[in-house]
Amino acid sequence: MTEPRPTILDLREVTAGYGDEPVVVGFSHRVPAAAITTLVGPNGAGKSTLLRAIYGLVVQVGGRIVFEDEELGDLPPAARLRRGIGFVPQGRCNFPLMTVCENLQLGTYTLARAEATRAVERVLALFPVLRARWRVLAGNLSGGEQQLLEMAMVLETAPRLLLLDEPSLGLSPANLDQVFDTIADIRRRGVTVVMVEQNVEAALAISDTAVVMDLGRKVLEGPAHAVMEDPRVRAVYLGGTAAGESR
Amino acid sequence: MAMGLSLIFGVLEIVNFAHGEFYMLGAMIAYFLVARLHVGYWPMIAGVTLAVAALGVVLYEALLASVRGRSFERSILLTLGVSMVLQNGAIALWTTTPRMVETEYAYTNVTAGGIRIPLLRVFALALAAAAFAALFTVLHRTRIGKAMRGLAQNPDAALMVGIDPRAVSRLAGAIGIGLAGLAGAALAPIYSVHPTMGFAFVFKAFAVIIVGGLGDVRGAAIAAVALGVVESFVAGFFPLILVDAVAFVAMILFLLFRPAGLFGRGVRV
Repeated sequence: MTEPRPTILDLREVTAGYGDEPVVVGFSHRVPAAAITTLVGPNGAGKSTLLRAIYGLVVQVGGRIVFEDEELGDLPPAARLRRGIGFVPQGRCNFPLMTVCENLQLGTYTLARAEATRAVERVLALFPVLRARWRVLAGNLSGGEQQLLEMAMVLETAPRLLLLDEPSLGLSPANLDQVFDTIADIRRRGVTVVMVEQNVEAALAISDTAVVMDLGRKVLEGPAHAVMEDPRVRAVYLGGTAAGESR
Repeated sequence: MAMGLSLIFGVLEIVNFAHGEFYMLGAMIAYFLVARLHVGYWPMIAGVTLAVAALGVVLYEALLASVRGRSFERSILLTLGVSMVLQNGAIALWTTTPRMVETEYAYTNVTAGGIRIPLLRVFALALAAAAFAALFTVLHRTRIGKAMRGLAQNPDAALMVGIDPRAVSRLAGAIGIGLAGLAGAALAPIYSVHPTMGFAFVFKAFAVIIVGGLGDVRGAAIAAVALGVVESFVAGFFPLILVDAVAFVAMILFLLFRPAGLFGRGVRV
């Protein structure tokens, strides 16, 4: 129903992990640009490890990761960020003893000083809630505000590809809606999003493409609505509507 | 001294047991600069601090970089080993004979309110205050300083915003060890210089950072000043032998009743 989008990230036979045992095994996938791709699958399927491999945080033992037609090889995370890949890790990942202001300043760490001020203004326009909490320590923000702060810190560098690892983890239902609305908004601005989510129904509702992983491999892919309707997915990962909501 | 130890613990997550040895090396270099090369007081202070900071970079690159974030026990064994090598190396090279560092201010006193204070002690105090102010300013006002605090608070978030942990840790190691060198240079003309002088200091410095809260630079500075005041009070009114006990009694009391230290945020596991 949609015309094919250009590929922004090409994963070719990627094998990655933390030691002798690779967690992701021979994973190949083309991530379409300016769309939301959601990785779903049971715990230990290798979804987070795959995101961390794309950002250069785990050892990639095989395969190739090609971003915008350039192979990333063994570039360190900071270099990947400079190239336009942003990564927001799982859980609370900010500087808890610094103010929102200082956190946003550190978000511009890789930018030139002249650009830094403009970057802060740009994300504040996107996240007005952060301006109201300007002098508050990040650790004292609500879970949802912290998640927004973390996305803002990464968006300051204007990444073209944004990797989100369980953005809804530990959020209240109200915060959850706010975070997913923001992610949909980020995509509307032309940023490609790849996220891992346990909250499968809410995530797939805003996604374009879904990839199902199990035991480090891709087992299913397709348009998000089709994957959501897939009876196997419903049985295994959603466990029926009621269980899906209790997550 | 304790500030440097705290900085290294906070950023590198390594307790540097060799810290006292860099203090000793600072004092030794001060001795050679003054006694052999006849360098003046202020150039000596600057030269020693830079030289020991450079040694800090060497130590970080050669040994500590590979330990970061891995096993805590390994870092303890490693820095204890460095400590023994440096201490015994110094004994082999220079023997244990105490040496005096005679600078141009050796016999100068200042009189304040009827009390005569050796000028060198005033300088040492001023240098400690200046070092604290400079470190505080760097950590809170500069980008690289904020990156150091950020790396200490959350290494994952540091990677998220594109901080290179290795470059920032290297600088933290250089500053932390450089501060130990500065302490050695400032105190060498006051006390005598010998290879085992760092040994007692490092345990006292540990007491100071435990009281101040591990990884908290401000707490370490306040605890260090408080310890100095309490020690001189004890020296004045109680048997002299109790002076050295003060730091450790305080440490034990803090561990029992307030293990996070003065401003500690608790120990992360």
